[in-house]
Amino acid sequence: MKNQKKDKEQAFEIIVSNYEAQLLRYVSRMVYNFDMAEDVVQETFIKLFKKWKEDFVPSPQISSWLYKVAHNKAIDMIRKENRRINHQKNKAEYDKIDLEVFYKGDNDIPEKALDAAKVLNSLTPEEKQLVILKVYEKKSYKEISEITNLSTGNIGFKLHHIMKKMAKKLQGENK
Amino acid sequence: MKSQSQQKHIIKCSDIEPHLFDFIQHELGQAQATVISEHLKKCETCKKSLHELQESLKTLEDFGINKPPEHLTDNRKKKIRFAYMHPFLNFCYIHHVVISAIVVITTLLAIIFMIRNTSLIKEKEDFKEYPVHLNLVR
Repeated sequence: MKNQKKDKEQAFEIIVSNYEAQLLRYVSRMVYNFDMAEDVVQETFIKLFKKWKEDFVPSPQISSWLYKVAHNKAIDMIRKENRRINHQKNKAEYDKIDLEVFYKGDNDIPEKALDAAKVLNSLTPEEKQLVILKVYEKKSYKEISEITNLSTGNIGFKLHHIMKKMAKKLQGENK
Repeated sequence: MKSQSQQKHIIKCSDIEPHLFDFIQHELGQAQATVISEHLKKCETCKKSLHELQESLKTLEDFGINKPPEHLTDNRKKKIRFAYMHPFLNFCYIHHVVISAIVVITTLLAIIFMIRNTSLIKEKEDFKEYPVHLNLVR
């Protein structure tokens, strides 16, 4: 009984310490808010410990599952937040505040970073997911395919169009 | 059979362009990557497209979130651990409003049932005590 509890504790520590940083990084970019990101990651881990039927050993399967669940929860969170903001009718102010939170400690927010943030924010959640996984998380097409259930060919095709769209917008922002 | 140089000549920019992002990300096979790099050596238009893509990628990469949290706070870890170690208690904690409502309703129903039963028993006892009186009324 004592051993079982110890094993559970150990599994918990291994899983959380292995995946918390990457999930926090990913969700922070999805939701643009650190507190919300922590909420999402907390709920994701709770769901993992509730639903995962196999052993709690770090594996590509657990990683993909975590990204998938975190993404869905992040989208739910964004929808809820959007509804709340629409009620408050101060979205412009909200966006400004959020970007400042990201650059806490810096006196000036780099202009290029602001442009990139704006363009990234203008994407649909699905497009944003592909860009974040490829550009920031440096996942391969195969790994992205496991997370998104898209074929590798489709991922390349979509990313190409998204990047072209973003390049156009970024050039527009810089002019 | 067309010669290799003829085959290379047939490749159009429209065939190359959709694969430029894959090319930057090293997601193409060796053969495809060689065809694209050969094409890029000669084609200025595709070279420009490649450069634009690389620039956008760099801008995006520069937009690093300022020190995102690397760890969950202890409080959050405590909550996850509690949910994992004590799933039933956690369920009660999450659904405490519903569970409280069920407990209150059940208690109220139990009280009503008990009161009704007691009054029925009392009525029966009253009936036993005064049967003659009741007969007289009839």
